[in-house]
Amino acid sequence: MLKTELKDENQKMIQQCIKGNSLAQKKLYDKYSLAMYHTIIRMLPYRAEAEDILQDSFVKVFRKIESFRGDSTLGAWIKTICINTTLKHLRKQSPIQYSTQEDIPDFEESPSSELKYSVKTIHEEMKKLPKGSRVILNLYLFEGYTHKEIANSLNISESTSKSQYQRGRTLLQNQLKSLRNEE
Amino acid sequence: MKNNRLKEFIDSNRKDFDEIESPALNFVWNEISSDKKTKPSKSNYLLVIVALLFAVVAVLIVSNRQTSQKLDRLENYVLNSPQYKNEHHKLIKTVSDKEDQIQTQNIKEEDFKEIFEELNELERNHSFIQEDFQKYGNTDELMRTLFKHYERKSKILEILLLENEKRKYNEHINHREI
Repeated sequence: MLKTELKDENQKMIQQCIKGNSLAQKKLYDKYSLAMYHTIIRMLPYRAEAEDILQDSFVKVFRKIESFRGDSTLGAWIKTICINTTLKHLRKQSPIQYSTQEDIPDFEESPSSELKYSVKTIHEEMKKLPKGSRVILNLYLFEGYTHKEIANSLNISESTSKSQYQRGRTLLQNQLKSLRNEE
Repeated sequence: MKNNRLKEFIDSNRKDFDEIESPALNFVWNEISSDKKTKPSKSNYLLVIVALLFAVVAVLIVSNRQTSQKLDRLENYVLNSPQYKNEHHKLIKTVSDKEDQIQTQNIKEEDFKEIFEELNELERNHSFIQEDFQKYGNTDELMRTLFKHYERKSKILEILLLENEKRKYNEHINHREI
């Protein structure tokens, strides 16, 4: 399908959603909900909680859809709502802890090293990371945030974002290494 | 610049990363639809304002008794079964109190991996119960399953609190010995 056709189709769907057409809302939900759920679950690793946030996010999407101006794609706009709702929820739960890095040795990847793990393993191991590193790692690696954007979203300094990202990566690599050793 | 194979791996498998779990999307959709939180048509604004006023009054009335509505999205089902209402409320409160305790004690998941795994497993089962409620409605059998779920969760949370106490005590002793 051509991009312009897709754009028109999205426009129609958005217009119908603004009018409160539940069929159009369902169509929009079906199109984006699975990917959005995964964006949430990577930062908030409990399924029931992630489903709650997905619900809250889409309620916001339908409430605010009138304000969507098309500056970004519809998917990116929905994702921003999902990420912000998740971060707000995480902050409400307890302050996100950003621990120091001193106790963890840095782990350098050798240029020839290959990632020999499955998507499932990495997905599950990322969910086990401490909250602070997990959120930053996800925003950086999956959502394409820069450290500056992460710092603004989480109200932390850019250097904290960088060090927590490095810490998360090292922890993840250590977890994966120990999995390999167990095999 | 550092070689970031992890990022490359994620980028090239992004679709799989976005489809790896199977959440209860239909259930969530039904919750969204029944929530009546979605934007109403303009002609219904007056009705919405009246409904909101009623909702505010209702919230004020029930707020004292409400422990954690968010905790259990099955509340609506249970409210339709008065014989279960009290028991359900009691169990939710017990679980909610323990979760509050855990939060205030800043218990770390990595310190109690096995217990948290069990809690995660329990959450997965909870999703299945939710799906069954959707399919079959509030049958007695499902109610009992739901109550057992809360009882079990309550026990596991209790164990977690005790283990944390033990851990703190041992740390204290070790510190004194040093």
